[in-house]
Amino acid sequence: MKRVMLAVAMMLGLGTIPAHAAYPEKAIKIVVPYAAGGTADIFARFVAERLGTKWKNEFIVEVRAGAGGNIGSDYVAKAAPDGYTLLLGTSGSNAVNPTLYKTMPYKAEKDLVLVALVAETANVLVTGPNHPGNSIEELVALARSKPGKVTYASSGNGSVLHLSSVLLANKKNVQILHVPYKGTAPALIDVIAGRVDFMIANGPSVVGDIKGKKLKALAATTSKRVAALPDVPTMMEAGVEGYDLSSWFGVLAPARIPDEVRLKLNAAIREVLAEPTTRERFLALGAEPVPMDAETARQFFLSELKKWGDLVRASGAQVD
Amino acid sequence: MELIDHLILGFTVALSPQNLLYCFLGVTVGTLIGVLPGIGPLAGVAMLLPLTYVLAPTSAVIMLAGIFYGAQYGGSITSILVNMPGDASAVVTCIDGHAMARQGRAGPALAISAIGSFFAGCVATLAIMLLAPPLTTVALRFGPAEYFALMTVGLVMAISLAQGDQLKGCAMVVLGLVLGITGTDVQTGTLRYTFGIAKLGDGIDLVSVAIGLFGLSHIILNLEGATRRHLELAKIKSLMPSREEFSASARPIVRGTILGSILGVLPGGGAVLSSFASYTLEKRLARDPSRFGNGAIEGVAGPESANNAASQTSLVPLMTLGIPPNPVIALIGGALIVQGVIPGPEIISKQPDLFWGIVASMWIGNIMLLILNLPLVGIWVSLLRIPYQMLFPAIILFSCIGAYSVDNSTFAVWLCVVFGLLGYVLLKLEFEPGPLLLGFILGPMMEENLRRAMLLSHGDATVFVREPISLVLLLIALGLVIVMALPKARDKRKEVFSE
Amino acid sequence: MRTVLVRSKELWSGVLFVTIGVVVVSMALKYPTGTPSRMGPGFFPLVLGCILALLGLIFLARAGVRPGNSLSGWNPIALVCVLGSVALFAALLEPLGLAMAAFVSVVLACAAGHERRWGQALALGVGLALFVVVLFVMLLKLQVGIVPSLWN
Repeated sequence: MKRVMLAVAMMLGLGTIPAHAAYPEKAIKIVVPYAAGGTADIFARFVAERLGTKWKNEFIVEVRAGAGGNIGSDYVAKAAPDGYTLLLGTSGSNAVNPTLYKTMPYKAEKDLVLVALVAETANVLVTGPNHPGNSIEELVALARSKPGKVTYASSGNGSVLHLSSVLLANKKNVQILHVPYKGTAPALIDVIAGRVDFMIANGPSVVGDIKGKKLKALAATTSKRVAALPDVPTMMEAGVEGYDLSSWFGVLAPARIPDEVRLKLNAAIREVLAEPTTRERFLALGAEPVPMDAETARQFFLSELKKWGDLVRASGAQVD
Repeated sequence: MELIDHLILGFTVALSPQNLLYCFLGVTVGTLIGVLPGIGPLAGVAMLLPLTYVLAPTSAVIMLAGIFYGAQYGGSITSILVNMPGDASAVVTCIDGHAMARQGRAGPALAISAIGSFFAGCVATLAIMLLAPPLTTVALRFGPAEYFALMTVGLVMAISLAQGDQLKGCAMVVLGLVLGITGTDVQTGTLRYTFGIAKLGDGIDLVSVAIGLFGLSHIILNLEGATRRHLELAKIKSLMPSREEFSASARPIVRGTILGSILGVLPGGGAVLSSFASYTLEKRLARDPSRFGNGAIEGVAGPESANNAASQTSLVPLMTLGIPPNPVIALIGGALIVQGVIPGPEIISKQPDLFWGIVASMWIGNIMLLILNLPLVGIWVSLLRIPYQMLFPAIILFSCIGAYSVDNSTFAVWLCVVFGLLGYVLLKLEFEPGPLLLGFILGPMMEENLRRAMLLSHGDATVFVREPISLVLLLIALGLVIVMALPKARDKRKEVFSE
Repeated sequence: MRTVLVRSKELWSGVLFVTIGVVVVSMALKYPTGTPSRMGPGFFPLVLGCILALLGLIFLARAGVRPGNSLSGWNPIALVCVLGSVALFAALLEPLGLAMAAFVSVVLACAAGHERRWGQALALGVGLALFVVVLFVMLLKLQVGIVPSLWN
């Protein structure tokens, strides 16, 4: 009986087909391509909550994890481009994967568009407390003196963290040995214990250890210093020219999403990012809000695809 | 003293109304699962795992841990009353427990079982409190070589302690290792054994394996069994054990507790093993071993204490080293990771309220179980009267939903079918699925650490014997292999397992 | 009564493991093997596959010497209905929603039992379907459609 009534209600609802001007008219789904509870999930829920309040519309967060973010991204890439299915993508899942993975279920440049950036987290190069290197210079000199022997950890082959170290090695022309781990946590343990020389790790995961003197921070990867670590120089300040990498989180949509919808979403997200509480909440996570207008965002995505793509090819990493 | 501070912190967390509720829910559901035939703590935790994603990490672990040790209590109820073990670790209790029930002594059997479990739980929790923090400092000394050696010990133990034929146990472990390899290779990013299916890039989900191998296969097997299952329900006359029963049980309880506490910590150990080991020990120590099998209360007291102690101390390796010693704990670890809490040496220092809160709630859970279960025996018994005909479709449905909800993926449910079939075939051929699961979990870690150790030592294989911890562990593994091979040990095993 | 070799559990165990071993090895050879000091992704699975095949051969040999226990009868209906119930759930969940998938799955599962009480099966199906919808979707916010998505 209940199901029959539900069915009837649904059928009646079929009569009203949403028009663009009235967007949004029904619940909007934000897909998270990583496991529940991770940083991407946190940002997705944040956007869902704030936009939901702002527009008085229902937002649902749906986790579809797997294949380094490809499963969720593919789901959104192939969804109807009506603005009701969105993706909380990241630099890893959407800028790196397209080149990293030999076979992709969708085409990044053609099938997805970056509607708005949400946040950026910096990555930090850290070494163990007893490590001889105290600055990027010293580390590089050490690497130069014994090629192939200085080791660095990463959270996985082809991950943003791995590629960040690859960029350093390329810029300074040194040979270092990559030791991949399944995730950041086990990698950090070996760095702290001194079994691995260094690692470039996400800001949020290491801030606590740096302050607790369990890790030494040698440089931050972004062009500006990390707010939570004001004494740590940036890579460029430390003598690595042209080095500016960060992990970003943003809202993506199927590429053929109508322009009005895309601009509307972008404007709303930028408003949310400008709210004073947003900055506080993000800083607590070790991230910074990054408002970006719609056209800049679109271009940013394309340039990121190229930038990370080049890095992947330089590193030789591949997932097939 | 620092310990008191920790305890105070722990109790503050554990006694919050929310966490009390989750503790209660956990132990009650756990007992229910233990009572229900066909679902053991593994399938039960697997099914309820996704529910905990909406809870705070501490509450989630409190509830899941409650399910785990609650299930040990529940399993013993059906073992004693109905001669049907709720799960593998309760099998041993059937032997003397049900014999006692047939003699009209079901009450004392149940009571001793509950009291023994309570004592064991308290001691085990104490052990955790005292040993876990120092263990974390040791944990930092564990590099890839040491982890590899530890995994090797675990796998050897899993083989040696598997019931029945050791070669078959070996085959199961190795098969588990192979299944665990499916996915993306950590070192090179190569996709192995994924057959082009993107979802398999992250490996086969443990929940699907657990549900298929343990849940579905057993249901099919049960349905093949007797045309009509009649459950002989013994009457319960009185609950209190006599004075002699009490004094006879005292030492087995203590011995069982110690045995269980130690075995629970070791990889490959766990509740099943502890109960068997305790039974064997008690029989060997008894003045009149012939009583065993005919209602010797030591045969209930020892194993019940052992399996409860083991299920609690098995949280220790997870919380200190980040290594789950058995599949249920692996699932709990998975739940934590999803919540952003990485189990490992950092937990005690970085999340003291999580750790001590869990420890404190285990005390509370044990008390709840003791108080609640004895009066509630009547209810559990009536549950057993639900015809299996109606019960098993519900179990299947919950399993499906459980598998789906981990990742919103129907693929996980399809995998359950595959593993259900595999489990069925293996059971028909008289293989024990338990060691497979252990191989599945420990295998990938073993390979990862082996290769990483070689990478860090720049190709030098002597690193495994140069490092003291690694050397010791490998020697233990070697020792175990030798012991297994000795004919004398083989005969003893045949003796124990033929019972 | 001597166990017939072809019904020997030991024999079929051997067959199973030799087959699995061979499959594992053949797939392992597709990945770079590397050397013992620099193991590639194919090394470990290759070794494991060989061990499995070897164990399978041992089982076969043992079966030849002493066939051991013989395979007991099986109930194909139970097997098909239980596994089919799960498979049906997996296939129907996304297109038809939780309520339908649960209902169909439960009814099929009931067919695996010994008694064929269709009335009871249908009632159980409806009851459980409603129960899980309430519990999982409404109370626990599981993200899954309740009714056929064709109707959305």
